[in-house]
Amino acid sequence: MVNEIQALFNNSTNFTVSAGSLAHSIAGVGQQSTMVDNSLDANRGLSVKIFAEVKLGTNPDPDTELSLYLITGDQHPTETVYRSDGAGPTDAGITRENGDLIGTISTTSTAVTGKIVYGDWTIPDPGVEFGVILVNGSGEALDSDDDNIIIRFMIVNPEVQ
Amino acid sequence: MAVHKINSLAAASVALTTTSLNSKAADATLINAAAASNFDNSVFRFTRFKCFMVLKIGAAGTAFGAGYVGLIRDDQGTPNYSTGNYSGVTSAFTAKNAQHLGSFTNANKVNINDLVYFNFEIYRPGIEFSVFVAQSFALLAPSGSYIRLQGFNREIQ
Repeated sequence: MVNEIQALFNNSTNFTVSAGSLAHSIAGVGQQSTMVDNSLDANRGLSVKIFAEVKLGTNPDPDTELSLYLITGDQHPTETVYRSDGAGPTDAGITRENGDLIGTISTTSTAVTGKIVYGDWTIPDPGVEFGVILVNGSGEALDSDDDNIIIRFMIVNPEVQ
Repeated sequence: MAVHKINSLAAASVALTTTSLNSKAADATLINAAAASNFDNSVFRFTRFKCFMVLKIGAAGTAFGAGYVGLIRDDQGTPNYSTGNYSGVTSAFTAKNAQHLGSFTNANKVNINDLVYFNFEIYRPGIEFSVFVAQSFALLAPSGSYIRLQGFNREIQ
């Protein structure tokens, strides 16, 4: 008997990340999300889709970039938990140093106030917990409303039919 | 017939023995590295590892210096093969012809007791292996640096 292995998609879920008014930085100063617990039986994902929808602020520079970086953690049972770049467990400011680049989003040549820019990527093997760091290189602060800086994840597993 | 989700199976994160990192000098050539003791993968037979490294700075260093980590393989054979003829016990290691695992920087972490974080992955490392670290930015502290491993396999539910 043969058994097809299909993709099993969890719901698309928002990261908790307060990136409204996030300032421009060329030094990696950004905002981290709250970590997602991928050790839960309902998750234990083997890959994660990331969807970012970001509203730019006032007079952003054209052809500049927003960058999204990965935080991974080890959930060490007894010692201080390791997280990329010394990140904490929850939504907070952070400076990215060595966290892996997930991807960049261009402001495009037609950047204008309030433009919404989009990026989506796949993270293979995210580990037992994961989060993201958003760094704004658009030249100006992002839109002031946290609800207009949306970053979502979708956990994906294989499923034997 | 029932369907079966395939989950990620993660072991607990464990520290390698890395006393060779203690008080390790910076090396501008990135040749004179410090290696961890070997990890025996013949029991749990993980196919993938996430590795979590923290280097603690022991003396004022240089900003935006470079570092990298590499892989030492061992075949548990007789006679034994190991990358660079490594002993398997944490010690200095001359890094030549080993597989590169990742590069990192200390950024602005230049002060005593600053911590430099770097994580990397090893896919299909084989039956036994270790990792080594070379860095150019600072003398490391006498203690407080570590490299942890977390093994992963897949599990059919």
